[in-house]
Amino acid sequence: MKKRTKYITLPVIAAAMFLGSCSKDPQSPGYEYFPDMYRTPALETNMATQFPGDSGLVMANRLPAEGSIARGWMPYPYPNTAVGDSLAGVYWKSPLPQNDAVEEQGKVLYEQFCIHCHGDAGKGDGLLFSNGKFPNKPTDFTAADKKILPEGHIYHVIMYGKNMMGSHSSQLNIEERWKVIRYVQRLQRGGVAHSQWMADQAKATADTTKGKDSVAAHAAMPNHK
Amino acid sequence: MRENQTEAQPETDMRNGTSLPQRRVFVILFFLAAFTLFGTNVASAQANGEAIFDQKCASCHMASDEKSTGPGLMGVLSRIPKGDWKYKWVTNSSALIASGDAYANKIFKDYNSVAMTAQSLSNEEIDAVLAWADTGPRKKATVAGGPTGPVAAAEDTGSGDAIYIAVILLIVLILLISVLRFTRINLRNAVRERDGLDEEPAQPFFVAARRWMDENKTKVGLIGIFLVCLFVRWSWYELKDIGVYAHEVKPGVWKGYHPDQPIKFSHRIHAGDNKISCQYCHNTVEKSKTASIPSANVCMNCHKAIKSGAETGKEEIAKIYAAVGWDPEKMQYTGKEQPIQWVKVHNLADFVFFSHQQHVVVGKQECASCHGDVTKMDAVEQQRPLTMGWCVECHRTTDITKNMESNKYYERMHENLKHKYKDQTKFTVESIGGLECGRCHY
Repeated sequence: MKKRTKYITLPVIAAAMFLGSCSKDPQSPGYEYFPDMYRTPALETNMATQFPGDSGLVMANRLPAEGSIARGWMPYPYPNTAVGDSLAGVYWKSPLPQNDAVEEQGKVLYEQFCIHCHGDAGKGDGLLFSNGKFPNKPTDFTAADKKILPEGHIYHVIMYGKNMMGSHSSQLNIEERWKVIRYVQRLQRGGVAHSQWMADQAKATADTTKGKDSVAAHAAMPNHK
Repeated sequence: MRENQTEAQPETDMRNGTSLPQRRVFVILFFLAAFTLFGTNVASAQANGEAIFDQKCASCHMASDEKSTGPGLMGVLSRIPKGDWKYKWVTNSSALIASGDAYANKIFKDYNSVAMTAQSLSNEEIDAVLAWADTGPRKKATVAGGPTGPVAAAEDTGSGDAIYIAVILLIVLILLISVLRFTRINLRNAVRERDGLDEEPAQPFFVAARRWMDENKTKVGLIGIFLVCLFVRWSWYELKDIGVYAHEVKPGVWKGYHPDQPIKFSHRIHAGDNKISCQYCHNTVEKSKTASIPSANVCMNCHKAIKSGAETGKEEIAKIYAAVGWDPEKMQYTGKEQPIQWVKVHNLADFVFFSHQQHVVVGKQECASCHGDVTKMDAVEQQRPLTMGWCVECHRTTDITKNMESNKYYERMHENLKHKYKDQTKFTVESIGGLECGRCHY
């Protein structure tokens, strides 16, 4: 009798264990045990909240009062018009030097923010366009008529967007925009790093003194010192 | 080549149609010749037009009736004024607008007063590209590719379904027991009637059940053990679930916390198929404590042009438009904004300090080491427990020797550490105080 009971009891326990391991509700984040100090009374980033005078829930992140300026920040003086674009091209200059280190930093940012549309060589053949999801062809900024455009113009485009490209000013701060532009300029040189390109230029100049014509070399890259 | 074709045509027709009156033959010949010529023209223009369109026009125009920066070019020839208006417009639209041309000004105003970039194209090229685009839609509008994966894999049956099934089974069981009981009583009474006995006195159910339990102690005991085990097992896991937001995720048994979001945004499509980097949207991850939920203007960088999704069509993208206040018909912002209330998935208690910046920039952690392989998730799911034990485990085991060498900011501190732990070759987060209480709780 006792033996029989044991034979039956064990499967019963096993069955109970199996049935008890029920699945969890994916909508529930779990229980709070004495919910003290779990939730913040202060507002955190991206929270929803309601201030007096608000009609409903609003973002806790608010815009600073109109006219306030963060330390070290300079307003961009040119409006989003064709005239503003031209003015930026003439007067808006990069504070960053052109060197390999800056270009490498720009490359990291380029791969995070630009490569999806403009492609790894800047030919406008990024994955989003080549896989057919983005309907409009992104600009090939290595094309002959694009690579002569000044850095201020590129900044203007990142700032305000152009055609179907949106403004990336909320994603890149001022310094990052200039870093990206340095890398874009490298791509416009055909991906040649600055140090390498300078060496090539020096060689070309040396050749000129030997009587060879370097006008073609200069004409190819009027944009870069 | 063309002439060869046109000359070859008459011969065949002459042979076949000798019985036709000569005049009619000529008419047919004329049409055939014209058609051949015209046909080849159209064909070459099409090839040409497509190339020019892709190169010069596709940034702002669609070869369909959809608007982008400029109007869709399908049916354009029937819309624009006849004559050489098109040449003037393409080569120098600003001049045409300035000249006060009515249609030019209308177009200019309709498309947010953005002048079309002057294109250096010859009249033939303009004809070719317009002829090609006019008879569109040439390119698929916005729906790209087919569905690239299973459409939102069917959700696993949650605990809700299990409860329903249990309730139904219970009802069936009760019905079965009562039916059997009445059958049994009736049968027994029938036997007694046959034997000439009186009907058995009716016994209440509970009295009968109790008598049965007295008689079958072993069975009752087993059922009791079963229920107790069930309860213990259930409460064990429920207890483990206590502790704010803490989750023990067991692959295949439990799915992590993955709440429904207000927009069916799929990380699988965006980060997986399209390979958009995490930082494109969560762009403060290297600068701030929070990785930040992107504002809807970031969505609009692509979705201004991509108007319908591969799997959900226009429905979900329309929600972005509603949130950001975008009128896809007029291609303009309306100014009516309504923030999207995303549901936060990865929660930490307020008494824990966690900074993304520290972990990503200095600690060089990949996003996936805490968030799992997001490129395979439609709705984001919590795959790591995010408990203190889990944090501490990582702080104990992560080798940061390399990070220490590459970080100039902490150079002096690291020199001191190397002095302190002379024989140690491997440094973990623990060695730099990563297990101090005050490191996270302050």
